[in-house]
Amino acid sequence: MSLEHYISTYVFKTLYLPIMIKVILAVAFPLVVLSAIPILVWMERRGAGLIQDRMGPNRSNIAGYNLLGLLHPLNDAIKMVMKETLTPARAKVLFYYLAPALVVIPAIMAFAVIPVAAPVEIEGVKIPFQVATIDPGLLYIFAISSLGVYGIMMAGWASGNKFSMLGGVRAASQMLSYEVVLGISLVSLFMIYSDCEPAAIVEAQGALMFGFIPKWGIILSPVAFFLFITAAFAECNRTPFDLPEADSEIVAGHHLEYGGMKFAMFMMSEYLSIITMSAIVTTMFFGGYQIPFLPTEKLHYLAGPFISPFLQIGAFSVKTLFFIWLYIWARWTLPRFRYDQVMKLCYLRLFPIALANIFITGLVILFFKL
Amino acid sequence: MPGDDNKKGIRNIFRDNEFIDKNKPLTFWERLYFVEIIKGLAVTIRHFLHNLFNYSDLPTIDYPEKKRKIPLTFRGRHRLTKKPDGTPRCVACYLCATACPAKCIYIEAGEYKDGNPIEKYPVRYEIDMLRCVFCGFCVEACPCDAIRMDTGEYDLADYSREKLIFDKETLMGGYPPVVNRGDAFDPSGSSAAVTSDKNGGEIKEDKINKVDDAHVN
Repeated sequence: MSLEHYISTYVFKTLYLPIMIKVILAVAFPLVVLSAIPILVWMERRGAGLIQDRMGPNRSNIAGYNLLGLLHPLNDAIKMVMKETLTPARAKVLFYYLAPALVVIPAIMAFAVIPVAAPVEIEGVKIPFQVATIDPGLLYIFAISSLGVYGIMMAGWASGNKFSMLGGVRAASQMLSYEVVLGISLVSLFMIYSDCEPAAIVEAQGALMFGFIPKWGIILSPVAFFLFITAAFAECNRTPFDLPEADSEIVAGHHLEYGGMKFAMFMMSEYLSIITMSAIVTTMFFGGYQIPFLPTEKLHYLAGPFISPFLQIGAFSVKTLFFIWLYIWARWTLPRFRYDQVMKLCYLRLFPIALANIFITGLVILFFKL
Repeated sequence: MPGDDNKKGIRNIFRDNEFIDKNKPLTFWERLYFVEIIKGLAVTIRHFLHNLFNYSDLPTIDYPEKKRKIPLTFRGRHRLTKKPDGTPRCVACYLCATACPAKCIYIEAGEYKDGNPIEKYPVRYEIDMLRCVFCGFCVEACPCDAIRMDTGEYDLADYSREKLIFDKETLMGGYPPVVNRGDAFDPSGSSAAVTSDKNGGEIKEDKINKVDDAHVN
């Protein structure tokens, strides 16, 4: 092997190939997450139907096959694209058109740091299954997802409609308040795992406690889980915290004046944040891509580097899908809170409990030297 | 005691054969709300799983393909009955048009050209289905049993008003006489729906109408 050839191979393997892999991941992640949205819409409508003793959507068909109603999202998409673009007379045009984009982009970006499988090494090339491995990790998610509130506020204000305005104001106060609980509830996990990079936390969760209990976040810090999931529901503006778009009070809230594809973007951002939040819950509390009792090294030893990522992606998807279903399930179970109840729940119940949780976790770590 | 509460003027609501006292203070677990959420989720998932595995038991009927059986006395779209030779039984006496509270029947009378000296016949017989209130007075008024409302059709819809003014030919033919009739409230039946399509699907006729139609139709 000549030196030139060796150098070119080395450069290819260490420089070009990792960049190519990153680019492929950076394209594939948003595509997969975006194409999951129609499935989620289908799950929501069909699940709602079955929960309420109805059939759900089943009319749309191709040559008599309705594919269990899966064609409805496709039809919806076609309808949304074909709709007329209307601008309300009182809208602030620039911000009115900017708002849907500002809502969707952070929702997609937040998924970047979530690992869907352990990195594997094939012929000296490391393939990470995570778009960006950055040290702040979850702090990045909080930073990005709180940007979403700008889009909603902007939509509410720029529509020039008082119901939209109310929706935007409600969204702003609710999302900012629950952001606090969302962040603080995870601090106890950062303390336990001494890291806030998702991949490292997931690796730590593969270990076993006392030889038989997985070291998952829900087992080590159950209070944080309940705080986080409550705050995550509020953060996504989902029932029982769907006050920004409370139909019976303010028609549709911040996206009242939006139609067609612009409305679809608000819809998409809602489902995107559901996916992201479910992925975070899975990553932080349910061992992420870890298959129970089968840590990464053991799995790589058993299944090899080619098959094990797929098994781990499968495990991650199943766990995430469960929490996505929990969102839908809860929507058709719980009634909406009153606005003062939402604020009281946040500042008088969840916030003190989250602080106490950090304190107690700290004491336990200090005294038991975990 | 529920009775005592009523005396004090405390309102109770009656549900599922038990009294729920709304003024009773919540217990600790109810105030915690969390346990109640779990209970609620259990209720909804029970419905979900039951419906998922017993999908065909859902009360929904796939409407245009399947239709609910309608009662024997149901007043549907009108039809004009025929004599054995195919001419309308109607003698253009205007009793139906007179009885009609919606004034939706228009009749133009004429005489038979073959010298039938007794009867007239309707040259035009039109019913404006958009004005008709389906009260059935025309059927009761008719002395010749010439107009009936036993087709069992109720889903009249079209893209223009003109198409819903039914003329004599539409009223006289083309449709099966009895469709989809039966006991709508049959307690034994598992589902009240019966398939009925115009292209020779399963059409259930009931005996009474069959016998009756033998001499009318």
